[in-house]
Amino acid sequence: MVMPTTDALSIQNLSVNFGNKTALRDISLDIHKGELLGIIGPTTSGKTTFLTVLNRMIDTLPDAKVRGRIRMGDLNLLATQQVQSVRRRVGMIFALPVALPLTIRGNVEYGPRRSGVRDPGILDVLVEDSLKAAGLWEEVETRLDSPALKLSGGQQQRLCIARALALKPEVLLLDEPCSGLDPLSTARVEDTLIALRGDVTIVLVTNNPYQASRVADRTAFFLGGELVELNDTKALFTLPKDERTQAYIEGKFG
Amino acid sequence: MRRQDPLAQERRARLGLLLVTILVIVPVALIVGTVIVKGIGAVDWEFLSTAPRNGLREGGILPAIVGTLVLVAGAVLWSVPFGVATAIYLVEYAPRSQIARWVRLAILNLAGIPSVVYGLFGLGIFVIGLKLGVSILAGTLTLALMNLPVIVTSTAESLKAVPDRFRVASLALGASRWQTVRHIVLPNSLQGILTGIILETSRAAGETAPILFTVAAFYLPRLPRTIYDQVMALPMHLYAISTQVPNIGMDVRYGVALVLLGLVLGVNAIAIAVRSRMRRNRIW
Repeated sequence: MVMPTTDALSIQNLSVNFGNKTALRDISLDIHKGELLGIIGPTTSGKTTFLTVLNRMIDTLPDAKVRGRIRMGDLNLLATQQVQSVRRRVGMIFALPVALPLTIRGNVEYGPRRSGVRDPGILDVLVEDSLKAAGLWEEVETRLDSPALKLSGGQQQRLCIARALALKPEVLLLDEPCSGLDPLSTARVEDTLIALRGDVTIVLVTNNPYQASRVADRTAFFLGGELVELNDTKALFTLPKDERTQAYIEGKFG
Repeated sequence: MRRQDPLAQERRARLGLLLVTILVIVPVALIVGTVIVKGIGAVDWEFLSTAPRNGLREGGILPAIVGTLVLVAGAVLWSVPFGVATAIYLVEYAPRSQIARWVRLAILNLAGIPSVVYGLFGLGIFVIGLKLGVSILAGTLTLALMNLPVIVTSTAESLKAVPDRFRVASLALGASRWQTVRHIVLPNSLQGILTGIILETSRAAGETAPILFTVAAFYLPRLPRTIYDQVMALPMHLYAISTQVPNIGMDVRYGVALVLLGLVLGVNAIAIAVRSRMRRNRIW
Protein backbone atom coordinates (compact mmCIF):
# COMPACT_ATOMS: atom_id res chain seq x y z
CA MET A 1 0.00 0.00 0.00
CA VAL A 2 1.22 3.50 -0.86
CA MET A 3 1.35 5.70 2.20
CA PRO A 4 -0.37 9.08 1.84
CA THR A 5 2.40 11.57 1.40
CA THR A 6 2.74 14.69 3.52
CA ASP A 7 5.31 16.18 1.20
CA ALA A 8 4.34 18.65 -1.50
CA LEU A 9 7.69 18.20 -3.18
CA SER A 10 10.37 15.62 -2.58
CA ILE A 11 13.76 16.54 -3.99
CA GLN A 12 16.51 13.97 -4.33
CA ASN A 13 20.12 14.56 -5.38
CA LEU A 14 19.34 17.66 -7.42
CA SER A 15 22.29 19.17 -9.28
CA VAL A 16 22.26 21.97 -11.84
CA ASN A 17 25.04 23.07 -14.17
CA PHE A 18 25.22 26.03 -16.53
CA GLY A 19 27.84 24.98 -19.03
CA ASN A 20 30.74 23.94 -16.80
CA LYS A 21 29.59 26.13 -13.91
CA THR A 22 27.89 24.33 -11.05
CA ALA A 23 24.88 26.18 -9.65
CA LEU A 24 23.43 23.49 -7.39
CA ARG A 25 25.24 20.46 -5.96
CA ASP A 26 23.41 17.36 -4.78
CA ILE A 27 20.47 18.97 -2.98
CA SER A 28 18.05 16.64 -1.20
CA LEU A 29 15.12 17.92 0.82
CA ASP A 30 11.41 17.42 1.32
CA ILE A 31 9.01 20.33 1.31
CA HIS A 32 6.00 19.62 3.53
CA LYS A 33 2.46 20.28 2.41
CA GLY A 34 1.21 23.63 3.63
CA GLU A 35 4.46 24.80 5.21
CA LEU A 36 6.23 28.06 4.58
CA LEU A 37 9.82 27.14 3.83
CA GLY A 38 12.32 29.97 3.92
CA ILE A 39 15.54 29.75 1.96
CA ILE A 40 18.35 32.08 2.95
CA GLY A 41 21.87 32.48 1.65
CA PRO A 42 24.16 34.99 -0.02
CA THR A 43 23.95 35.83 -3.72
CA THR A 44 25.20 33.05 -6.02
CA SER A 45 24.26 30.50 -3.39
CA GLY A 46 21.88 28.84 -5.87
CA LYS A 47 18.60 29.87 -4.19
CA THR A 48 17.03 31.33 -7.32
CA THR A 49 18.21 28.44 -9.49
CA PHE A 50 16.60 26.07 -6.99
CA LEU A 51 13.24 27.84 -7.41
CA THR A 52 13.43 27.88 -11.22
CA VAL A 53 13.92 24.11 -11.18
CA LEU A 54 10.80 23.56 -9.09
CA ASN A 55 8.45 24.97 -11.73
CA ARG A 56 10.60 24.11 -14.73
CA MET A 57 11.26 27.74 -15.65
CA ILE A 58 14.84 26.49 -15.82
CA ASP A 59 13.83 25.03 -19.20
CA THR A 60 13.82 28.56 -20.60
CA LEU A 61 17.45 29.19 -19.60
CA PRO A 62 20.06 28.25 -22.18
CA ASP A 63 22.76 25.69 -21.30
CA ALA A 64 21.06 24.57 -18.07
CA LYS A 65 21.63 20.92 -17.24
CA VAL A 66 19.53 19.42 -14.45
CA ARG A 67 20.13 16.06 -12.75
CA GLY A 68 18.31 14.37 -9.91
CA ARG A 69 14.68 13.57 -9.10
CA ILE A 70 11.77 15.69 -7.91
CA ARG A 71 8.51 14.04 -6.97
CA MET A 72 5.24 15.99 -6.69
CA GLY A 73 2.59 13.47 -5.67
CA ASP A 74 2.77 10.84 -8.42
CA LEU A 75 4.43 13.18 -10.86
CA ASN A 76 8.07 12.92 -11.82
CA LEU A 77 8.44 16.68 -12.09
CA LEU A 78 11.76 16.81 -13.94
CA ALA A 79 10.82 14.18 -16.53
CA THR A 80 7.29 15.19 -17.46
CA GLN A 81 6.54 16.76 -20.83
CA GLN A 82 3.57 18.62 -19.29
CA VAL A 83 5.62 21.71 -18.45
CA GLN A 84 2.63 24.06 -18.60
CA SER A 85 0.73 21.91 -16.13
CA VAL A 86 3.74 21.94 -13.78
CA ARG A 87 3.87 25.74 -13.92
CA ARG A 88 0.15 25.96 -13.12
CA ARG A 89 0.58 23.68 -10.12
CA VAL A 90 3.76 25.44 -8.97
CA GLY A 91 3.40 29.22 -9.26
CA MET A 92 6.31 31.63 -9.20
CA ILE A 93 6.71 35.24 -8.05
CA PHE A 94 9.81 37.14 -9.16
CA ALA A 95 12.04 39.58 -7.31
CA LEU A 96 10.79 42.56 -9.28
CA PRO A 97 7.02 42.65 -9.72
CA VAL A 98 6.10 42.10 -13.35
CA ALA A 99 2.55 43.17 -14.03
CA LEU A 100 1.63 42.18 -17.56
CA PRO A 101 0.64 45.11 -19.82
CA LEU A 102 -3.04 44.30 -19.31
CA THR A 103 -5.75 45.49 -16.95
CA ILE A 104 -5.74 44.41 -13.32
CA ARG A 105 -8.51 41.95 -14.13
CA GLY A 106 -6.64 40.82 -17.25
CA ASN A 107 -3.59 40.00 -15.16
CA VAL A 108 -5.49 37.84 -12.71
CA GLU A 109 -7.48 36.12 -15.45
CA TYR A 110 -4.39 35.52 -17.57
CA GLY A 111 -3.39 32.13 -16.20
CA PRO A 112 -6.89 30.63 -16.01
CA ARG A 113 -7.77 31.88 -19.50
CA ARG A 114 -4.64 30.32 -21.00
CA SER A 115 -5.55 27.02 -19.37
CA GLY A 116 -8.95 27.16 -21.03
CA VAL A 117 -11.29 28.79 -18.49
CA ARG A 118 -13.75 30.90 -20.48
CA ASP A 119 -16.85 31.20 -18.29
CA PRO A 120 -17.14 34.87 -17.21
CA GLY A 121 -18.85 33.92 -13.94
CA ILE A 122 -16.06 31.55 -12.94
CA LEU A 123 -13.44 34.11 -13.95
CA ASP A 124 -15.12 36.85 -11.90
CA VAL A 125 -15.11 34.66 -8.82
CA LEU A 126 -11.47 33.72 -9.40
CA VAL A 127 -10.49 37.38 -9.74
CA GLU A 128 -12.24 38.40 -6.55
CA ASP A 129 -11.06 35.42 -4.50
CA SER A 130 -7.47 35.71 -5.67
CA LEU A 131 -7.24 39.45 -5.08
CA LYS A 132 -8.77 38.99 -1.63
CA ALA A 133 -6.31 36.22 -0.80
CA ALA A 134 -3.43 38.45 -1.87
CA GLY A 135 -4.78 41.31 0.26
CA LEU A 136 -5.28 43.63 -2.69
CA TRP A 137 -9.04 43.48 -3.27
CA GLU A 138 -10.05 46.53 -1.26
CA GLU A 139 -7.47 48.70 -2.99
CA VAL A 140 -8.48 47.78 -6.55
CA GLU A 141 -12.09 46.56 -6.56
CA THR A 142 -13.37 49.80 -8.08
CA ARG A 143 -10.79 49.90 -10.87
CA LEU A 144 -10.34 46.33 -12.03
CA ASP A 145 -10.30 47.46 -15.65
CA SER A 146 -7.55 50.05 -15.36
CA PRO A 147 -3.98 49.22 -16.42
CA ALA A 148 -2.09 47.08 -13.92
CA LEU A 149 1.14 48.96 -14.63
CA LYS A 150 -0.34 52.04 -12.94
CA LEU A 151 -0.29 50.26 -9.56
CA SER A 152 2.52 50.95 -7.09
CA GLY A 153 5.38 48.46 -6.76
CA GLY A 154 3.98 46.87 -3.62
CA GLN A 155 0.52 46.60 -5.16
CA GLN A 156 1.99 45.09 -8.32
CA GLN A 157 3.78 42.45 -6.27
CA ARG A 158 0.54 41.51 -4.50
CA LEU A 159 -1.13 41.47 -7.92
CA CYS A 160 1.52 38.99 -9.04
CA ILE A 161 0.69 36.84 -6.03
CA ALA A 162 -3.04 37.08 -6.82
CA ARG A 163 -2.31 36.20 -10.44
CA ALA A 164 -0.44 33.08 -9.40
CA LEU A 165 -3.17 32.14 -6.88
CA ALA A 166 -5.84 32.35 -9.59
CA LEU A 167 -4.42 29.09 -10.96
CA LYS A 168 -5.08 27.39 -7.59
CA PRO A 169 -1.46 26.25 -7.30
CA GLU A 170 -0.34 23.62 -4.82
CA VAL A 171 3.01 25.35 -4.34
CA LEU A 172 3.97 29.02 -4.53
CA LEU A 173 7.60 29.98 -5.12
CA LEU A 174 8.70 33.49 -4.20
CA ASP A 175 12.09 34.80 -5.25
CA GLU A 176 13.03 37.69 -2.96
CA PRO A 177 9.54 39.14 -3.43
CA CYS A 178 10.23 42.15 -1.21
CA SER A 179 13.67 43.16 -2.45
CA GLY A 180 12.29 46.13 -4.36
CA LEU A 181 9.65 47.16 -1.82
CA ASP A 182 9.53 49.66 1.01
CA PRO A 183 9.07 48.38 4.60
CA LEU A 184 5.32 49.02 4.62
CA SER A 185 4.74 47.12 1.37
CA THR A 186 7.05 44.40 2.64
CA ALA A 187 4.93 44.03 5.76
CA ARG A 188 1.78 43.72 3.64
CA VAL A 189 3.34 41.02 1.46
CA GLU A 190 4.51 39.16 4.57
CA ASP A 191 1.01 39.36 6.06
CA THR A 192 -0.31 37.92 2.81
CA LEU A 193 2.14 35.01 2.95
CA ILE A 194 1.31 34.25 6.58
CA ALA A 195 -2.40 34.21 5.72
CA LEU A 196 -1.81 31.86 2.78
CA ARG A 197 0.32 29.40 4.74
CA GLY A 198 -1.47 26.14 5.33
CA ASP A 199 -3.63 26.33 2.23
CA VAL A 200 -0.68 26.64 -0.11
CA THR A 201 2.84 25.32 0.25
CA ILE A 202 5.16 28.31 0.07
CA VAL A 203 8.87 28.44 -0.68
CA LEU A 204 10.25 31.87 0.09
CA VAL A 205 13.74 32.76 -1.07
CA THR A 206 15.02 35.85 0.66
CA ASN A 207 18.20 37.87 0.90
CA ASN A 208 17.06 39.06 4.26
CA PRO A 209 17.48 36.42 7.02
CA TYR A 210 15.19 38.40 9.32
CA GLN A 211 12.34 37.99 6.87
CA ALA A 212 12.74 34.20 7.06
CA SER A 213 12.90 34.36 10.84
CA ARG A 214 9.65 36.37 10.87
CA VAL A 215 7.51 34.22 8.59
CA ALA A 216 9.05 30.81 7.82
CA ASP A 217 8.11 27.52 9.53
CA ARG A 218 11.40 25.95 8.52
CA THR A 219 14.43 27.61 7.04
CA ALA A 220 17.13 26.26 4.76
CA PHE A 221 20.56 27.84 4.38
CA PHE A 222 22.17 27.59 0.93
CA LEU A 223 25.81 28.38 0.29
CA GLY A 224 27.77 27.94 -2.91
CA GLY A 225 25.11 25.73 -4.46
CA GLU A 226 24.89 23.40 -1.48
CA LEU A 227 22.27 22.95 1.22
CA VAL A 228 24.22 23.62 4.39
CA GLU A 229 21.47 23.30 6.95
CA LEU A 230 17.70 22.85 7.15
CA ASN A 231 15.82 23.13 10.43
CA ASP A 232 12.83 24.63 12.18
CA THR A 233 13.23 28.38 11.81
CA LYS A 234 13.55 29.01 15.52
CA ALA A 235 16.18 26.29 15.94
CA LEU A 236 18.14 27.42 12.90
CA PHE A 237 18.32 30.99 14.07
CA THR A 238 18.97 30.29 17.75
CA LEU A 239 21.08 27.13 17.63
CA PRO A 240 22.61 26.73 14.15
CA LYS A 241 24.43 23.42 13.85
CA ASP A 242 26.86 24.56 11.18
CA GLU A 243 29.32 27.34 11.88
CA ARG A 244 28.80 28.73 8.34
CA THR A 245 25.10 29.18 9.11
CA GLN A 246 25.98 30.95 12.32
CA ALA A 247 28.42 33.24 10.52
CA TYR A 248 25.84 34.12 7.86
CA ILE A 249 22.96 34.93 10.19
CA GLU A 250 25.31 36.99 12.31
CA GLY A 251 26.10 39.00 9.19
CA LYS A 252 29.74 37.99 8.91
CA PHE A 253 29.47 37.47 5.13
CA GLY A 254 27.03 37.73 2.26
CA MET B 1 47.34 74.74 -27.29
CA ARG B 2 45.56 77.82 -26.12
CA ARG B 3 42.86 77.29 -23.55
CA GLN B 4 39.36 77.83 -24.88
CA ASP B 5 36.34 79.23 -23.19
CA PRO B 6 34.02 76.20 -22.87
CA LEU B 7 30.94 78.38 -23.16
CA ALA B 8 32.05 79.92 -26.46
CA GLN B 9 33.00 76.44 -27.64
CA GLU B 10 29.56 75.18 -26.74
CA ARG B 11 27.92 78.06 -28.66
CA ARG B 12 30.01 77.36 -31.76
CA ALA B 13 29.27 73.63 -31.60
CA ARG B 14 25.55 74.23 -31.27
CA LEU B 15 25.52 76.71 -34.16
CA GLY B 16 27.61 74.46 -36.42
CA LEU B 17 25.47 71.41 -35.79
CA LEU B 18 22.31 73.43 -36.37
CA LEU B 19 23.58 74.72 -39.73
CA VAL B 20 24.52 71.23 -40.92
CA THR B 21 21.13 69.95 -39.82
CA ILE B 22 19.37 72.68 -41.79
CA LEU B 23 21.51 71.73 -44.79
CA VAL B 24 19.99 68.25 -44.64
CA ILE B 25 16.46 69.65 -44.90
CA VAL B 26 17.24 71.89 -47.88
CA PRO B 27 17.41 69.26 -50.67
CA VAL B 28 14.22 67.59 -49.43
CA ALA B 29 12.41 70.92 -49.41
CA LEU B 30 13.79 71.80 -52.84
CA ILE B 31 12.73 68.49 -54.39
CA VAL B 32 9.24 68.51 -52.91
CA GLY B 33 8.85 72.23 -53.69
CA THR B 34 9.96 71.88 -57.32
CA VAL B 35 7.71 68.90 -57.94
CA ILE B 36 4.71 70.67 -56.42
CA VAL B 37 5.27 73.99 -58.22
CA LYS B 38 5.95 72.46 -61.62
CA GLY B 39 3.47 69.61 -61.39
CA ILE B 40 0.42 71.03 -59.68
CA GLY B 41 -0.82 72.60 -62.93
CA ALA B 42 -1.13 69.21 -64.62
CA VAL B 43 -2.96 67.51 -61.77
CA ASP B 44 -6.71 67.81 -61.99
CA TRP B 45 -9.60 65.39 -61.74
CA GLU B 46 -9.30 64.32 -65.36
CA PHE B 47 -5.58 63.61 -64.87
CA LEU B 48 -6.36 61.34 -61.94
CA SER B 49 -9.46 59.64 -63.32
CA THR B 50 -8.88 58.89 -67.01
CA ALA B 51 -6.58 56.72 -69.09
CA PRO B 52 -3.77 58.18 -71.23
CA ARG B 53 -4.50 58.95 -74.88
CA ASN B 54 -2.56 59.84 -78.02
CA GLY B 55 0.61 57.88 -77.23
CA LEU B 56 0.70 59.00 -73.55
CA ARG B 57 0.74 62.66 -74.56
CA GLU B 58 -2.83 63.39 -73.44
CA GLY B 59 -5.36 62.10 -70.94
CA GLY B 60 -4.69 60.99 -67.40
CA ILE B 61 -2.78 58.39 -65.43
CA LEU B 62 -5.54 56.37 -63.76
CA PRO B 63 -4.22 52.97 -64.95
CA ALA B 64 -0.77 53.77 -63.50
CA ILE B 65 -2.25 54.82 -60.15
CA VAL B 66 -4.42 51.70 -59.99
CA GLY B 67 -1.48 49.58 -61.14
CA THR B 68 0.81 50.91 -58.42
CA LEU B 69 -1.85 50.36 -55.75
CA VAL B 70 -2.46 46.80 -56.98
CA LEU B 71 1.27 46.03 -57.00
CA VAL B 72 1.79 47.40 -53.52
CA ALA B 73 -1.23 45.56 -52.12
CA GLY B 74 -0.14 42.33 -53.78
CA ALA B 75 3.41 42.65 -52.49
CA VAL B 76 2.11 43.21 -48.94
CA LEU B 77 -0.22 40.23 -49.28
CA TRP B 78 2.67 37.89 -50.13
CA SER B 79 5.45 39.31 -47.98
CA VAL B 80 3.71 40.11 -44.68
CA PRO B 81 2.57 36.60 -43.67
CA PHE B 82 5.93 35.06 -44.55
CA GLY B 83 7.96 37.94 -43.13
CA VAL B 84 6.08 38.17 -39.83
CA ALA B 85 6.02 34.39 -39.35
CA THR B 86 9.77 34.20 -40.00
CA ALA B 87 10.46 37.02 -37.54
CA ILE B 88 8.33 35.35 -34.84
CA TYR B 89 10.20 32.09 -35.31
CA LEU B 90 13.59 33.82 -35.21
CA VAL B 91 12.89 35.96 -32.15
CA GLU B 92 10.46 33.90 -30.08
CA TYR B 93 11.23 30.27 -30.84
CA ALA B 94 14.79 29.70 -31.94
CA PRO B 95 16.95 32.80 -31.50
CA ARG B 96 20.12 30.76 -30.97
CA SER B 97 19.51 27.90 -33.40
CA GLN B 98 21.65 27.09 -36.43
CA ILE B 99 18.71 27.74 -38.74
CA ALA B 100 18.26 31.20 -37.23
CA ARG B 101 21.91 31.97 -37.97
CA TRP B 102 21.46 30.89 -41.59
CA VAL B 103 18.25 32.89 -42.00
CA ARG B 104 19.85 36.00 -40.53
CA LEU B 105 22.80 35.63 -42.90
CA ALA B 106 20.43 35.17 -45.84
CA ILE B 107 18.40 38.23 -44.86
CA LEU B 108 21.53 40.34 -44.53
CA ASN B 109 22.56 39.34 -48.04
CA LEU B 110 19.07 39.67 -49.52
CA ALA B 111 18.83 43.21 -48.18
CA GLY B 112 22.03 44.14 -49.98
CA ILE B 113 20.95 42.95 -53.42
CA PRO B 114 20.26 45.79 -55.88
CA SER B 115 16.63 45.99 -56.94
CA VAL B 116 17.44 45.44 -60.60
CA VAL B 117 18.81 42.02 -59.69
CA TYR B 118 15.44 41.21 -58.09
CA GLY B 119 13.87 42.26 -61.39
CA LEU B 120 16.06 39.87 -63.37
CA PHE B 121 15.47 37.11 -60.82
CA GLY B 122 11.70 37.68 -61.11
CA LEU B 123 11.98 37.50 -64.89
CA GLY B 124 13.98 34.27 -64.75
CA ILE B 125 12.04 32.47 -62.02
CA PHE B 126 8.47 33.78 -62.00
CA VAL B 127 7.91 35.03 -65.57
CA ILE B 128 9.84 32.37 -67.50
CA GLY B 129 10.62 29.56 -65.03
CA LEU B 130 7.17 29.20 -63.46
CA LYS B 131 5.52 30.39 -66.70
CA LEU B 132 3.54 33.10 -64.91
CA GLY B 133 4.21 35.45 -67.79
CA VAL B 134 4.64 39.19 -67.44
CA SER B 135 1.81 39.58 -64.94
CA ILE B 136 0.61 41.09 -61.66
CA LEU B 137 1.34 37.72 -60.06
CA ALA B 138 4.98 37.70 -61.19
CA GLY B 139 5.47 41.38 -60.38
CA THR B 140 3.99 41.26 -56.90
CA LEU B 141 5.96 38.11 -56.06
CA THR B 142 9.15 39.88 -57.16
CA LEU B 143 8.32 42.96 -55.07
CA ALA B 144 7.40 40.73 -52.13
CA LEU B 145 10.76 38.99 -52.33
CA MET B 146 12.45 42.38 -52.24
CA ASN B 147 10.32 43.48 -49.26
CA LEU B 148 10.84 40.30 -47.30
CA PRO B 149 14.22 40.98 -45.66
CA VAL B 150 13.15 44.44 -44.53
CA ILE B 151 9.85 43.18 -43.13
CA VAL B 152 11.56 40.32 -41.28
CA THR B 153 14.11 42.72 -39.83
CA SER B 154 11.66 45.45 -38.79
CA THR B 155 9.21 42.91 -37.35
CA ALA B 156 12.01 41.20 -35.42
CA GLU B 157 13.08 44.56 -33.97
CA SER B 158 9.50 45.30 -32.87
CA LEU B 159 9.22 41.89 -31.21
CA LYS B 160 12.54 42.36 -29.43
CA ALA B 161 11.31 45.71 -28.09
CA VAL B 162 8.80 43.85 -25.90
CA PRO B 163 10.63 43.36 -22.58
CA ASP B 164 11.62 39.77 -21.81
CA ARG B 165 10.19 39.96 -18.31
CA PHE B 166 6.67 39.88 -19.82
CA ARG B 167 7.49 36.65 -21.65
CA VAL B 168 8.95 35.12 -18.49
CA ALA B 169 5.90 36.14 -16.43
CA SER B 170 3.55 34.69 -19.04
CA LEU B 171 5.44 31.39 -19.28
CA ALA B 172 5.58 31.16 -15.48
CA LEU B 173 1.77 31.32 -15.44
CA GLY B 174 1.62 28.16 -17.51
CA ALA B 175 1.11 29.83 -20.88
CA SER B 176 2.69 28.15 -23.89
CA ARG B 177 5.17 29.88 -26.18
CA TRP B 178 2.47 30.46 -28.76
CA GLN B 179 -0.01 31.79 -26.18
CA THR B 180 2.69 34.16 -24.97
CA VAL B 181 3.32 35.39 -28.51
CA ARG B 182 -0.38 35.62 -29.27
CA HIS B 183 -1.55 37.35 -26.07
CA ILE B 184 1.48 39.33 -24.84
CA VAL B 185 4.14 39.85 -27.51
CA LEU B 186 2.05 40.52 -30.62
CA PRO B 187 -0.48 42.93 -29.05
CA ASN B 188 2.42 44.98 -27.66
CA SER B 189 4.46 45.04 -30.86
CA LEU B 190 1.68 45.27 -33.43
CA GLN B 191 2.01 48.99 -34.01
CA GLY B 192 5.76 48.72 -34.51
CA ILE B 193 5.26 45.85 -36.93
CA LEU B 194 2.62 47.84 -38.83
CA THR B 195 4.88 50.88 -39.03
CA GLY B 196 7.65 48.78 -40.57
CA ILE B 197 5.27 47.25 -43.08
CA ILE B 198 3.83 50.61 -44.10
CA LEU B 199 7.25 52.20 -44.58
CA GLU B 200 8.40 49.25 -46.66
CA THR B 201 5.20 49.50 -48.68
CA SER B 202 5.90 53.09 -49.60
CA ARG B 203 9.38 52.10 -50.72
CA ALA B 204 7.94 49.37 -52.91
CA ALA B 205 5.52 51.88 -54.45
CA GLY B 206 8.42 53.86 -55.87
CA GLU B 207 10.48 50.96 -57.20
CA THR B 208 10.92 50.62 -60.98
CA ALA B 209 13.56 47.96 -61.52
CA PRO B 210 11.77 44.95 -59.97
CA ILE B 211 8.60 45.55 -61.99
CA LEU B 212 10.32 46.51 -65.24
CA PHE B 213 10.60 42.97 -66.62
CA THR B 214 7.92 41.28 -64.55
CA VAL B 215 4.66 43.23 -64.76
CA ALA B 216 4.92 46.82 -65.95
CA ALA B 217 3.27 47.83 -69.20
CA PHE B 218 4.39 50.81 -71.24
CA TYR B 219 0.89 51.71 -72.43
CA LEU B 220 -2.20 49.83 -71.29
CA PRO B 221 -5.21 52.10 -70.99
CA ARG B 222 -7.64 49.48 -69.62
CA LEU B 223 -7.62 48.51 -65.96
CA PRO B 224 -6.41 45.02 -64.91
CA ARG B 225 -9.00 42.25 -64.57
CA THR B 226 -7.02 39.19 -63.40
CA ILE B 227 -3.70 38.56 -61.68
CA TYR B 228 -2.31 37.42 -65.04
CA ASP B 229 -2.77 40.91 -66.57
CA GLN B 230 -0.02 43.44 -66.96
CA VAL B 231 -0.45 46.87 -65.39
CA MET B 232 0.99 50.32 -65.77
CA ALA B 233 2.75 51.72 -62.71
CA LEU B 234 3.62 55.29 -61.70
CA PRO B 235 7.43 55.03 -61.51
CA MET B 236 7.55 53.11 -64.78
CA HIS B 237 5.18 55.58 -66.39
CA LEU B 238 7.33 58.49 -65.27
CA TYR B 239 10.40 56.80 -66.69
CA ALA B 240 8.58 56.10 -69.96
CA ILE B 241 7.24 59.58 -70.60
CA SER B 242 10.52 61.19 -69.56
CA THR B 243 12.76 59.14 -71.84
CA GLN B 244 10.69 57.42 -74.54
CA VAL B 245 8.00 59.89 -75.58
CA PRO B 246 9.03 63.06 -77.40
CA ASN B 247 7.07 66.33 -77.22
CA ILE B 248 5.44 65.77 -73.88
CA GLY B 249 4.70 68.66 -71.59
CA MET B 250 7.09 69.22 -68.68
CA ASP B 251 4.12 69.79 -66.40
CA VAL B 252 2.77 66.31 -67.20
CA ARG B 253 6.05 64.70 -66.11
CA TYR B 254 6.06 66.70 -62.90
CA GLY B 255 2.38 65.90 -62.44
CA VAL B 256 3.14 62.17 -62.46
CA ALA B 257 6.03 62.74 -60.06
CA LEU B 258 3.75 64.75 -57.79
CA VAL B 259 1.13 61.99 -57.68
CA LEU B 260 3.80 59.37 -56.90
CA LEU B 261 5.35 61.62 -54.26
CA GLY B 262 1.93 62.30 -52.76
CA LEU B 263 1.20 58.59 -52.60
CA VAL B 264 4.53 57.77 -50.92
CA LEU B 265 4.44 60.70 -48.50
CA GLY B 266 0.82 59.94 -47.68
CA VAL B 267 1.72 56.37 -46.78
CA ASN B 268 4.68 57.57 -44.71
CA ALA B 269 2.43 60.03 -42.89
CA ILE B 270 0.19 57.12 -41.90
CA ALA B 271 3.25 55.28 -40.59
CA ILE B 272 4.32 58.29 -38.54
CA ALA B 273 0.81 58.68 -37.13
CA VAL B 274 0.75 55.01 -36.15
CA ARG B 275 4.15 55.29 -34.52
CA SER B 276 3.31 58.37 -32.48
CA ARG B 277 0.12 56.70 -31.30
CA MET B 278 2.24 53.75 -30.25
CA ARG B 279 4.56 55.98 -28.23
CA ARG B 280 1.60 57.59 -26.50
CA ASN B 281 -0.02 54.29 -25.64
CA ARG B 282 3.14 52.57 -24.46
CA ILE B 283 2.79 51.93 -20.77
CA TRP B 284 6.05 50.33 -19.77
